[in-house]
Amino acid sequence: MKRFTFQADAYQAQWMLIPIRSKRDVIYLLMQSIKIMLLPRINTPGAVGEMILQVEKMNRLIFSFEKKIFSINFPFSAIEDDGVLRFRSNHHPKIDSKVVSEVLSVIATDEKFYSKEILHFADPITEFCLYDDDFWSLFRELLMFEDGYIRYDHDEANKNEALHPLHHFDVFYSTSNTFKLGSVKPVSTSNFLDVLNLSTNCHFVSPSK
Amino acid sequence: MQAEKNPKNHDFIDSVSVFCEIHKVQAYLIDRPLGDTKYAYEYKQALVLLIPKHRIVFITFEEKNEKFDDYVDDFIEDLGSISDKYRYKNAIGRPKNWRDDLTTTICHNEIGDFETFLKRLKIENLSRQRVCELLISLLTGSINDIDKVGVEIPETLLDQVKQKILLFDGDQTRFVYQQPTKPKITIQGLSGTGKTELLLHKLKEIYLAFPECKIAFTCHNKILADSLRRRIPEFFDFMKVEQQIQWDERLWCTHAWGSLSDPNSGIYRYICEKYHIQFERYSRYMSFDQACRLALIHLEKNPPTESTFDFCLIDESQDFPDSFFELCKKSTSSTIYVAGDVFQSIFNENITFAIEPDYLLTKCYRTDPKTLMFAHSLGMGLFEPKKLRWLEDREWAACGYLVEKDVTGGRYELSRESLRRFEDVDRADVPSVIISKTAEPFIQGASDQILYCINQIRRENPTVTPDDIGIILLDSNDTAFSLANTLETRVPREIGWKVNVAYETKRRIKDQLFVSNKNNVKGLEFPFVICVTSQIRNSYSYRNSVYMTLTRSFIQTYFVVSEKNNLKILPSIESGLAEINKSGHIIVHAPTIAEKNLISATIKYSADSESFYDMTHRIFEELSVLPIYRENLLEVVKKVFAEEFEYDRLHEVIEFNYKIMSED
Repeated sequence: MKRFTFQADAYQAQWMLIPIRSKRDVIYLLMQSIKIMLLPRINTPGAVGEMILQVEKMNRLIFSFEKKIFSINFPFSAIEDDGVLRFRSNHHPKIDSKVVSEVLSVIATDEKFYSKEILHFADPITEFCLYDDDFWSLFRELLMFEDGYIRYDHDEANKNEALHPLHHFDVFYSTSNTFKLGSVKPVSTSNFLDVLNLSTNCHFVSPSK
Repeated sequence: MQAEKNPKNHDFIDSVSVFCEIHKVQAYLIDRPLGDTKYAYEYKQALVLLIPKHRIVFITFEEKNEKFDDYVDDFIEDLGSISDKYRYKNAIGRPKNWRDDLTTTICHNEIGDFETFLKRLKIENLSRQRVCELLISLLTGSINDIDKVGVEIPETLLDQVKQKILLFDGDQTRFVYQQPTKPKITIQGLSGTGKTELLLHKLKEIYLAFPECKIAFTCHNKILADSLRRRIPEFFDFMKVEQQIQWDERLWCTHAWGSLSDPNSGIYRYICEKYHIQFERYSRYMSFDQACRLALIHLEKNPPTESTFDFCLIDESQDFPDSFFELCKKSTSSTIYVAGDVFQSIFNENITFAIEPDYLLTKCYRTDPKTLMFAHSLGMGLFEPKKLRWLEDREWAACGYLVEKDVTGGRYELSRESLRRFEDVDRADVPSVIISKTAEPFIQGASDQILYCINQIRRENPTVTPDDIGIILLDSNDTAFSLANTLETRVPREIGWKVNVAYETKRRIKDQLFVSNKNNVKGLEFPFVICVTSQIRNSYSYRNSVYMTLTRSFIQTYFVVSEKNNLKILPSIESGLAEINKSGHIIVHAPTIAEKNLISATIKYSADSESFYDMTHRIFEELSVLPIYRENLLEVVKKVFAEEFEYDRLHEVIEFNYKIMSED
């Protein structure tokens, strides 16, 4: 098992904790996280949380904060080389800072991303493809990958007995899809990782009493 | 000057213009407020003399009489209503608050000696000087944002520069208000001379004066075109234009090329649509020049029966091939206005110096002249052992330089006039450019140095905000992207400012530190700019970007550069800069004739208009590469060269790889 942990400061926490409402938010989070992982690791004074990349049978990014832990799928391979992480995917040989910025620029403006006209959306992608043959394949991969969103909430403000338990998991993010699984006890980061880990024993769901 | 000459006033007008020329005084003579055609007066025997820091003088060329008094009253009433229109009134008050001490009337024959006359008109009180300047700005149509400049006298250097009242100079005023006289009007000016601003004013004048006309407003760069498109409605609002903008019916503002999907997405695209020309899209095999030439050939065979546009305004003309201007001219019924920076095209073989522009803006209002001088020097490699470019004396003059040389003509001292923009701002002890050398590894060293520069700026300018600083990364390799990532983490952590990586967000965000690369900064400006590069390279496109980015600042530019990678050239660049900062002169030796020949040969060899494919093909031919290797070699060079390619490097890479391939 490979696990890489990155401390997050209060500023990084701001974008990490932006509520996820769409696949575009997931891509944004994933790309911003890769930026951090590509940097040489430095100490983070005043850390308020952490980001964990766990790579084994499961491949996930986990974000852990005081009252919230959540995770998304990490669709790329990570290779550690001389203390530096490198990323590749089935469709792109090298996901570096430049490629990440290009992806972010494609999804940055509503004007382009939600354009009625397909070519308005495609234009910037075509431009990047002029110099990087694999850019479109990577972008398609990002649009298609399963996001695997799951979140643990410790939610004092909205707790409502078994309907909205103090400790619960939210699975999926879109309104019509998402559902809660209660937990009797608080969930720590290691509990959370254990729930997701395919190599450890399963957790069981049982009806509330 | 924006007033009709007649037998009575022409002597006076001539003498004023001679006086102002000799004494470097900025003055305007008008007979009505500029910028709005609705103000006209029956009385024709008067002129109004406007000189910053002097009272506004109404001069009659007859005996003073009732008609003249009426004219003055009407004029002042109108000025009052213009001041109300642009919301100056709250700041400067009603006419009764300024009429008595800031205006005066005189009969022409009472003026006497002009210099003595000016002394009598001088306003001593600083805050009244400021009100007077605001009045002049209203009368010349050079409207300032009153909320930004304000009427209070700013204290710190940063506020002084930010709140400086901008006034058009004579050339600028003439360009904006003169009627078109010929099919193509060119305006040349260096970076920061306010070309885009002037085009916006011109656009407004045309849009209002010709209610049915169709106008195209374009530039090469897509991002700049997008920002222009956003600026137009803001500008029209600001100038209180009451007409709606009819996008894509009367006004097209897009980049020049466009895409197949939308006929309105580019000027060339729209022309193709209109005349049923086959649209060529950008690829490695098609340059814009080729596309325009093909369109011209089509129009040659099928002459258009009607025009597409009535006016065409083209910004950043140095980015275009002549074929595009030809195409615009063929499609435009009245006039095309072409504005560009002659300096940004100095590496073109057929440099535009040869063509005299109709308007030459040599005064740079944005950038400190010293910054401009350093940017020019670095752009041309003047301080380096092998210069990349040299200008002839008249070309120096066209760039606004005063040339002094020794008897042999070998040693040159180049300087620039100081400008109104900064004349009353005390900047003597502020170096305009600072070279900041980084330690290794580059990303660590450069981010340390950038943070140091930001802190330095904050110490020296306590009122500075994140919006006041722009960080521009000149390199386009992965290191530059990683450096931006590092800043995105370190700046919030160590300074508490958020970072906007603008090549991702594609916009400026208030209260966030702007970080971007050279492709996304055209048209932007900041009080402080930090330019970053790991290696000072020789390619012309790189040097052009250096010039373009260094001159984005109002006050100061920091040039952050790796010491290790530039050991050979940095010492001479530093001493050249020290001289500029100390004496305001570029001191340099002219290249020998042999060197000059080498320079022009190199420039000729790397014509910009060639597409990547054409250049590669040319090199294959030169090296007699066997056809079976060409496809693979093309793949290799495509991988090696991203957006940027230059002849020398391309040649080198092809030659090297071909050698290896053919040995196998």
